[in-house]
Formats: sequence, structure tokens, C-alpha cells
Amino acid sequence: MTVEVTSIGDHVSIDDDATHLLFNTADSGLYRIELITRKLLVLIHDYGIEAARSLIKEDDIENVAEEKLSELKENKFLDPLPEFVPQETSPIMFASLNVSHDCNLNCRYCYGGGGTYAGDPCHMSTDVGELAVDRLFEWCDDSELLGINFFGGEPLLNVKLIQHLVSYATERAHAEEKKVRFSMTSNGTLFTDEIVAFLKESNIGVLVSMDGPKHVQDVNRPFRNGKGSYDVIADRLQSLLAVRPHLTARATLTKDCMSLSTLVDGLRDVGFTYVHVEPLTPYENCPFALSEEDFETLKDEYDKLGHIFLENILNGTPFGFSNILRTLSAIYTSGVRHYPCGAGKNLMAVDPMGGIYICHRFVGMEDFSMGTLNDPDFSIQKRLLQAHVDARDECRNCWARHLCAGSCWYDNYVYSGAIDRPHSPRCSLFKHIAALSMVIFSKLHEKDKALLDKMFRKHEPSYRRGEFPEDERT
Amino acid sequence: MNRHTDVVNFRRMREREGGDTTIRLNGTSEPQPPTCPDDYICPWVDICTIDFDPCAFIDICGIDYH
Repeated sequence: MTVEVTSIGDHVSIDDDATHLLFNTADSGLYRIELITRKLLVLIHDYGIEAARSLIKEDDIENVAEEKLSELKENKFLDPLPEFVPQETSPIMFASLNVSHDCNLNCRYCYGGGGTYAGDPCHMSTDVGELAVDRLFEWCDDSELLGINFFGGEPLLNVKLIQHLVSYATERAHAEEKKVRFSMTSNGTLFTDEIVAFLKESNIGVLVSMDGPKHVQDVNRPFRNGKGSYDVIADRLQSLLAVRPHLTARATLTKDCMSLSTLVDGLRDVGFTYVHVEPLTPYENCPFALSEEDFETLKDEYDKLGHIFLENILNGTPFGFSNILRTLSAIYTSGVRHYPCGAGKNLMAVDPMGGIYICHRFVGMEDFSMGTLNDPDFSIQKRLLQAHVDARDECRNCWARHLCAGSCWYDNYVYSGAIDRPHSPRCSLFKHIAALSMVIFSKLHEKDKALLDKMFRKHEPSYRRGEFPEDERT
Repeated sequence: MNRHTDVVNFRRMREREGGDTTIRLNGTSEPQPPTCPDDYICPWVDICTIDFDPCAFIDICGIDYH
């Protein structure tokens, strides 16, 4: 699947052999067009409306250009982009609790210093955990839906606290007529029947960090004694899969294994139905970090997997390749985003000592501290709110900015030293994925629009369940 | 600008393409309030940014997949 991308001012045209698309950056509108429309938009961009009109007037057969001009106007391709005005403050609605600064794995790329974040191994106490929950309810203003994620290290090393905090937060939510949703990021090595029953009973979403097939997982994510972790996880996941058949894996991609299909297939073999792959965010001089050339290679990998992804959907045997699905979902909903995430804006990460940071990736980094649970300091929030994607020098003219929203603050910081300056190879890769997703979206729209609606419409996340009943497909 | 080339191409395109109108492919459904279905257990990766439904945490939590 080869895709050609051409920027036209704030907008972009996406073409493959059979498809011509135009994407409106202002409202994330995706249009199927004739090439003639693109041609006209280029003329208008280069010379202005009146000059373009006069250039083509005498050869404009059947007033086609005027018709296309009307379409461009009607679809707001000729309007200036609306100005985004950031808020001054924002409520905290989501807490990521580092309940354990300890881990039983020794992942070779861990940004958390092996789970201890450069400190001594420790667990969050009940007092700190309860105070974190209390602060979430205090700082959420009138938000009715809150989220709590249990993170680490390996959070299940402190499962007793998780069980207590789920109960504690649920009771408080009930008393305040709010809802709270729970999730957990785990390495998958500690699932027992008892823990699985608890996760099921408490409706805790689980994201399992796992890097792919055995030969990749055992190298990237060994136990502390050096032994591979694949076999243990593959075994222990089965009890969770029995009650949660549509589990998500989050894989880190390193230079050693650049084959996306190898990673995805390896994770599907374990039982995951939904896979998200992210390139490693490297430490300094990391030998298995991706080079700029590797990011280019990844584009080919996405093209191959994108083709398979599309064919599988149309054949009724879909698999959840998150990286494309997320972009498809954004396209479906015409999403316009100005921030890459809620870090520091609506989200706080809390370490075991009660320190607050803008997100879990910045834990222990004082420049990104928001004080402590007892002495909060939200001054960084205003800075983050001002750094929206339309305000950034590197992003404000990019056609993909309202889909990407400026890339992860942490990735930016690691690569460029500034949270609002993105890493160019990642930008290029994201734009490639976005364009590829637009072509896939268009093909799905053309071949089976009802299926597209079924995949993404509200309250029907049937795609996640891998269910496409034959009688409901057109 | 090479006016002749551009205009000729313009005419040829028109003759070749057959006159389909521009069609919007997305965002045509009625806007939905951000929410999650009651039976939907949301893993970390879905909480972060843009969910299928859409998620109530769109653009909010975003810790997502890292």
C-alpha cells in the first residue's frame, strides 16, 4: 500500500493508485475528491482565489471549476483556521498511582530505573494512597467521571493496597455521586486466580506490557535473575484471558526486531486481541534505540501491516492493531486535539512518598513536579496549557497536528530537551501512519460503510470483541 | 506559472474523472457526548486519548501506552 502525501497550505492531499483524498486540518474532515479539486486548491493556495479563477476561466468547461470552488468553500478549505484559546486552569480527573517502586523484571530499556526510579525499592502506604484518592476528589471540580490507574514498578507487588484503594475510592465516589474507573499496567507475571477474580469483580482494565514472541520478550524483559519471562507470562495470562478475552498488550519496539508483524503475531499467539506498539524511548547511547533510518524502515512495516489489517477487516477476521485503529477512530470522529494527552492538565502521577508529577513518565524529575499531596504546586499546568499544538513553532503548520497533538511530552523531552519540541523522525512516522489510516478509512468507507459505522459508533465497540456477525455485515 | 500546462491538465483531468462531487467521509454522524458503555472495560491504552465510543477521557488522561 503506497501512499503519496502532498501538503497544500494547512491541508493535505492523500493519494494512492485508486484513491484521492483531501484532509481539512481545521476540523479533521476527510473528503474523497477528484484530482481536479486538488488542482484547484493548489492554484488557489499559490495565487489566491481571483487569480486562480481567472487563470482557468476561459478553459473551464461546463463551469466545473466554479462548482469545485463552491465545494471547497462549502467544506471550509478556504477559511482561516479558528484560533484555539487555552484554558487558564484545568481540573485533575485522573490519577496514576505508583503503588510500587519495585519490580520483579529487569527490562533493559526501563525508564523507571528498574522500577525504583533511581531510589530504593518501596511501596506506597495506605495513608499516602488514601490521601491521593482524596486529593483527586478535591481537585476534580465538578467532574463526574474520574479515573485511577495503578502503576509501578510492578503494581501487583502491592496488590493489597490496590484492593484497599479500589474499595476506598468506590465508596467515596458513591458518597459524592461520581463514577470512578480503574485500570492497571502490569508486566503480567503475577496474575493468580485470586488476583484475576479481583480484577474481574472490580472491573479493572488491564494493560499488559509485553514485547512480542519469546525470543524478543526474553531478551527485552527478563526477570531480575536473567531468566526469560515469556513462558511465565504466557502461562499466567490464561486465567485472565478466561475472564477477559480481549486483552491489550503494549509492546516496546527496539532496533533488534523491527518487524511489526513478528511482534503482533507473537502477541496474538499468546492470546491478546489488541496490540499497541511504540518505538523505544531511549536512554543516552542506548545501543538498541531506533535510528532515523529505522524510523523510515518502520514506514514500510506499517504499509505491510496496514494492508493485512484492511484485508482482515474486510474478511471478517479483524485484529486490533491499536496504532492504526486509534488513528482510524480519530478520523471517524473528526477529532481535533490540541494536547497530546492530559499530563499535568487533567492528570497527575503520584509516587509512593506522595510527590506529584505531570505524568508517570516524569516521576522523580523535579522540573516536572507538581509539588506534593500536602503541598501542591500547579504552576506548571499553565505552561502546559499554553503549549498547545497550534502554538508550537514546529507544529503549527503541520497538517497532522490535530491528530497527533504534538507527540508525547516525555518523548519530546528525551529527544530534544524540550517537552514541546517533537522528534522529527517520529513526526514523519506519525504522518505516514495518519495518511495510511486515511486511505484505509476511505477503502472501508467505499466497500462497507456499515461495517465502519459498526466498528466505531458509540456503545458498539464490537471491533474490540472481534465480533462481526455475518448477518449484520453488508 | 506555466499557464498553458496547468489549464490543459485541468481540462484533461475533468474529462478523465467524470464529474464526481466531493464527498465527506467522516464526522457525518451526530456528535455524541463523551461516555463509555457500562459494560466496556477500558484498558489503559484506551483511556488515554481517543477511544472508539468516544471515550470519556478523550484528551484528558493520556497516560496511555507509554
